[in-house]
Amino acid sequence: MEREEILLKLRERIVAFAASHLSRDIAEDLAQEVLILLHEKYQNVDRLEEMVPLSLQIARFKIMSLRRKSQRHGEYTQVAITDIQLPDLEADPATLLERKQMLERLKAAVAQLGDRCRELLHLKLQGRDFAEIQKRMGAQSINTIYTWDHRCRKQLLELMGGDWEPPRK
Amino acid sequence: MSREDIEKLLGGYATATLSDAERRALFEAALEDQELFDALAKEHTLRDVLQDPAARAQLLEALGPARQRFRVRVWRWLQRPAGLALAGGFACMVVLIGVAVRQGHRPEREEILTAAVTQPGPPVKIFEPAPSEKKLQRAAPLPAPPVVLEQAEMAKEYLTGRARDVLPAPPVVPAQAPAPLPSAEERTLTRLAAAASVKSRAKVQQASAISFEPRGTALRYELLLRDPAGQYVPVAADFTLHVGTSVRLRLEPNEDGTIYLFQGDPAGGWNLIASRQVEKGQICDLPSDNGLEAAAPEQKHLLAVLTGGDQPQIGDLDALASPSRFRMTDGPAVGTPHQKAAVITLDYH
Repeated sequence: MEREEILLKLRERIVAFAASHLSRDIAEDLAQEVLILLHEKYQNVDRLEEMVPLSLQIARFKIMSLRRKSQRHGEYTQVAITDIQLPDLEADPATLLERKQMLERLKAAVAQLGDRCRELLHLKLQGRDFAEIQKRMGAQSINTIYTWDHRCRKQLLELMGGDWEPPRK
Repeated sequence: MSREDIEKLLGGYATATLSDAERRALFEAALEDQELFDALAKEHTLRDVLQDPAARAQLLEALGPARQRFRVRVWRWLQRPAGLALAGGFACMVVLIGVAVRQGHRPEREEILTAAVTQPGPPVKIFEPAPSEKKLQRAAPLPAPPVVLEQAEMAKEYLTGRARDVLPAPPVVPAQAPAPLPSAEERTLTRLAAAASVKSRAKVQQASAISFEPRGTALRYELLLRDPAGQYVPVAADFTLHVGTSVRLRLEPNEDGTIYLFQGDPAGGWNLIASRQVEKGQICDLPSDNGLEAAAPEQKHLLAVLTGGDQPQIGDLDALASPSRFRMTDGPAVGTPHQKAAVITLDYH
């Protein structure tokens, strides 16, 4: 898949995703900002495996930034396009705080998982891939591991209240 | 990969568990599917946290030590003294239970073998008709038992050796392929059918059937009862014989020779009622023409003698039937070494 084709599809997906959190106009502008950043700052990134995570990270930072700004201004639905700034992709204190809170929730949730899920997550956090995990856990096929992981992720998400991020006030 | 399969890869995105191929498959699918893209975007939140090594370390700590493989855990457990003691105790218990179970079965088996080997003779039939039947039967006159005079006289002459030439040779029955004995299930069904047809009262006596073969005896016999269809079928030892019931004996020798069937008369003598040359294992039903019947309640004493050799000779019938008149006697005990005898008592009510 060519870079231009990937960017076009990414724009479409980011607009739809951002529109579920922001207004449609802002979502389109946000997607445009993401693409500009990818084009200007990350021109050497052209592989799908790199572009998707990178675009997701930029989009997420921009959405978080817009939300915080709206909270500060008492606005939730209207954000001026001039207020949208390029993220520096470095964690700011607010982001760090959010991560810390999320980590605490995660720690509490994983403690409630069953043995198999704990073992699976343990191996994942150690950096092992699914093929290694299959061998370590003695599963007959890698599909078994996919299924176990899918169930464990679902269980963990339920223990976290249905969303990784804390509910917004 | 189907969408479901792709969706299962989502869990590996945040932890960076996916291989290049898996990651490519997931992203390609996410570009085509908005729901999957949204899910991936949400998963990115978790990825942000887990990318931090310190956060990973904290989570690993929260998860506790990694579980070792099963065999490693078992080996470690076995290395502990308590584990070793438990495993040893369990093994001992299994062995003890196994020994106990085996010993529990053995006496039963020995009992069965003992019964089959040492039971001295055919079961003495004990028949107990209902009180009302007893009264009716006692009131009836007691006719003399049927005696075949000619055959009886000829048998006496034959036995004393005075008229050996006169005694007709026993009918030679062409050797037939021995009819297979019915299986245990068939016998049971047949007995049940016969029991139902004559409306007899079955009395539980003992487990042994009337078919009986003590150790060393060369003559096995079984009681047959005529059913309403005119067929003679085996019956159980605890079967109650009624007046008018027709029976036969099914005999099975385990050596070649001639079988003579005698019936005791009130005077203490024996009357020959049937005879047949037989081969080893050949089953023959005697009397072959008619069954044995009683017109009134009585006891019939039958003596079946198997003699071997080309010129069968029978010694003293009383000696064959004694010392225990109602027990099967073995050849070596009485008569010649080739003579086997069995005494059967039929009790008609």
